[in-house]
Amino acid sequence: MSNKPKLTTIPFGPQHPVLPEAVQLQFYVDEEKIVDVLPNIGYIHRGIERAAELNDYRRNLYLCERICGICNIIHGQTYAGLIEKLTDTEIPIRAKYLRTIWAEIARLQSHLLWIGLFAEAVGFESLFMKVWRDREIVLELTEATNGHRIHMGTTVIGGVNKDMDAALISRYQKDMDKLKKEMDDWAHVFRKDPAFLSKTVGMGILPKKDAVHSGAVGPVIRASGIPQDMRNNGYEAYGELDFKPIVYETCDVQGRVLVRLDECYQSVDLIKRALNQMPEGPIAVKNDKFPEGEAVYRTEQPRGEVFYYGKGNGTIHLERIRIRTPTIPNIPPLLGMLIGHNVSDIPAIVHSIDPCMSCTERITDIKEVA
Amino acid sequence: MIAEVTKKPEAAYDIKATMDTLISEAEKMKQKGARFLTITAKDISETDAEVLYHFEVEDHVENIHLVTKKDTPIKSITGVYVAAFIGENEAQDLFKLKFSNLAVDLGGKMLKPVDSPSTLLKPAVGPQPPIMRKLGPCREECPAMVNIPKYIREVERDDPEAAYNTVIDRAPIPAILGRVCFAPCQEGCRQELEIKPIQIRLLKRVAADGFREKNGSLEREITCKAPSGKKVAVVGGGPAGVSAAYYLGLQGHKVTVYEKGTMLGGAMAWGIPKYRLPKDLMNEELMARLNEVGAEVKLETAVEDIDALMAEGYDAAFLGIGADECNSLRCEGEDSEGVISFIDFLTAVNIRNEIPAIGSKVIVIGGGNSAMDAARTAVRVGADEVTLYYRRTESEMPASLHEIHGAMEEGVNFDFLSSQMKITPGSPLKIEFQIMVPGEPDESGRRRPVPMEGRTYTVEADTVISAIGYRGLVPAGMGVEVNRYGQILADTGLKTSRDNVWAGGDAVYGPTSVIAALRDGRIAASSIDKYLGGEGLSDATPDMSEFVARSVDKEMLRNTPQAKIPEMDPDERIKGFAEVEFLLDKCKANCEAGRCWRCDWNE
Repeated sequence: MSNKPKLTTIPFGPQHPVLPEAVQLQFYVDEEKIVDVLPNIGYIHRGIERAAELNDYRRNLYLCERICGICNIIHGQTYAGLIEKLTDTEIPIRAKYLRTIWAEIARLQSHLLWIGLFAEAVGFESLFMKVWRDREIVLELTEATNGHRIHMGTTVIGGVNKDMDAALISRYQKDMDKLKKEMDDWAHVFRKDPAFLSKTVGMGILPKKDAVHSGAVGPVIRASGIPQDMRNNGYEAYGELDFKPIVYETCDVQGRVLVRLDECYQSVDLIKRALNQMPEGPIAVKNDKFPEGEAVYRTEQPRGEVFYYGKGNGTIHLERIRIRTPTIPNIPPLLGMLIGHNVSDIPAIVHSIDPCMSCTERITDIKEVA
Repeated sequence: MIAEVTKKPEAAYDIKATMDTLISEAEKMKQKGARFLTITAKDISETDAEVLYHFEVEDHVENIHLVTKKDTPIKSITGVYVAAFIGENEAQDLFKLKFSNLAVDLGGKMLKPVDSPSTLLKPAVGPQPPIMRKLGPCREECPAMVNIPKYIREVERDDPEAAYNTVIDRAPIPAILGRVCFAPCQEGCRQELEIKPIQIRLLKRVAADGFREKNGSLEREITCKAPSGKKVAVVGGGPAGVSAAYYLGLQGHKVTVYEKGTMLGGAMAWGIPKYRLPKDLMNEELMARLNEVGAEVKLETAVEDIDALMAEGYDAAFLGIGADECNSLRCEGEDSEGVISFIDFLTAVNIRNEIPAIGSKVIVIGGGNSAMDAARTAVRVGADEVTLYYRRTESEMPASLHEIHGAMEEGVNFDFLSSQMKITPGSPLKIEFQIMVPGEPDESGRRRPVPMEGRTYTVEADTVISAIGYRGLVPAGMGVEVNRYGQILADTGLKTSRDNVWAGGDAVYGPTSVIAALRDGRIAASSIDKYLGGEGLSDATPDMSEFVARSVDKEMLRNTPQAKIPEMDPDERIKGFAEVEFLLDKCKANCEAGRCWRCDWNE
């Protein structure tokens, strides 16, 4: 830290070509070796928690869908799930299946986005283009579902607002097969290419014990050998889909790449299975109660576990809502991963937690602090 | 108790803790293998807060619940769970709680206030990138480069004074231009493609007439530059001369205008009919400009010898002597009695207010705007039958479409592809015409008419008005070089072959337009000013200072129709010389100005 005079300080961010997210990591380096690192966050606070307390609780759904662009579907579903818990609402089975399918679609597009960006961060630009080309298949499916490429907006409190007809289901089935075939085309590069492996194997070690201790979530903790995945708890329709978390024991960057790569294949399988199993029936129930009491609701986002805590008092406003997105708990493990590595390894290691700062920072109004 | 939705709905516990038991409860959690989730802080009152520590134990959430005073430091659990430092720093920043023994204490600086030195939310300082702006296609088409987009916006926001000044910045006679300009700008307007360009000329009249109504007269109060002590003579009181005199006066020079006629205006005075441009108004505006800059006017003073003029102590001279020699008909018997030139005819009607005896049957020969003016004036002074003969086809007439339609509405007959051969004197005159057919295109791109052998016909008329163009005639005493058409030779700064003499307008370029003459006056004034030691006038540049916060919804604008020119009924028009066009009413003018796509702005 600042009381170590002989070290060189390198600021990484808040604007950096490798990481277009507003976070600063202050590196203290001894020649090329990282000795210490200090995170500096808080650049893009938007005051979402405060806004959510002032809003009508039903409007918060749209606010929560905008916490993060990439995870918008799952944020909406998590908020709806929290309110359904607070109002004791049981949603129809078909709605659970539809939510599951769309959550996996969101995971697919997020993981493909990250795999492409990671390939670019380690200097493999043609691979980045190949991956993002195939991501288009998923985005076009999203568009075919509800008219938008990223923001789906299909969740409502008490179910979903859009059903899938036979034509759309068969398109999903066909496109999932197509995507799987296209992924086979480049997946082996991430497993075997020596230039790629030299950037990832043995980098950013997060031991199994530290992973629990430092509170890592999502692919980061699963790459350290711990089967921590909220889908394992069987929320929505995951309980009926024979879900098994993907776990790697390598504890390094390569492990995190492979977890996400395998999860792409897993998502394709889950979507196809859910499409086959999905029962007929209504897609939503009416929800006319005001939230009362306290509840927590957790789901698995592409980046890991998202945590919603809500307290209702029987009025139209929530008394308190607390959202903890997956990037925040992944920052302390990241600091440990970086120490001891060279400056040139920073991009690959920082990217390996898939940081999403606009997701992280939504706590207060900047004026309140000022 | 906080319940959690899981497949196995196990109980989730609320463990009540106090300040003393907090650390031991956290250690118990660690022994159970719990994973730290996050901290939720919440204000209960001004002084009290509650803090919830969330942990995951196996597959459910357990919480440690702590109620505390805000000013009492809470023991940090980072000694047990390092990962809690972000949550604790957050609570410290947001809820003004205090934590002791924090492993990583960011000292309340984790969240960046606006004035933090490391924040991104800083206003831009230092040199800024330039604002990109264009002139706009209408302004590029305008010979005088009037800032058209700007005054359109000023008309839209109902500020005629600002609009009037904007026009005068480049062309000093907006009220006249608003009535007589050919409006080349409207051909440049991008909405011309949809056959509904902005009625830019009408808006100029709205600005000028609106200013006159507000101000009482067209004369403004302006400040010129400090007197330079130099004297400049302007020969000719037409648009070029007045323009030069006004801009020279602005630069602080003493100007004297010499006009050989009885009123200012030059070709505008004799050539433009009263029904289009009321002479009182024309005189008022020209005099207003000259009075504003304190220029002296000498009417009925012809200048034949430039050396004699310069000997009166002038430092420079501007020749805006115009062109008023009618082209000859080039046919047998053109000198016969009853054959008059349109210049003589229009001068008699417009300046001398005479009603010439032209009989009941009148023939006008020619196809330009001057022929239209002559024909339409003839209708008004009592001719029963006016026929216009032109040697090419209708589509090749140089006259503007608006004028041709006006003439047709007023009952002027047209006969195309007829060339005059011979005029036999007598009463009535007998005129022999040759029928023509369009041949090969000539250098102007129009098809040259060729005679059809043996096809002639003869018509009778009381008066023949020849209107086949006019040219300039420079008096020999001017001592400047002229080309073979009799036009004065001048460089790009409009300086002539003589050292201290400049020229502009029709005398240099042949018969053109009012707006081109105004441009020449300004260019010459700028280069005279530089010659006399001044800085010259500014060039046309986009106005960067103007701020327009106006949304342009092109779809909405596209559906707004073009304003129609309000005109008098044709049957009423021919009874006299009252102005044919009316002023656009305020509401329609605002709407018309609002149609502008503001092409100068950012595209």
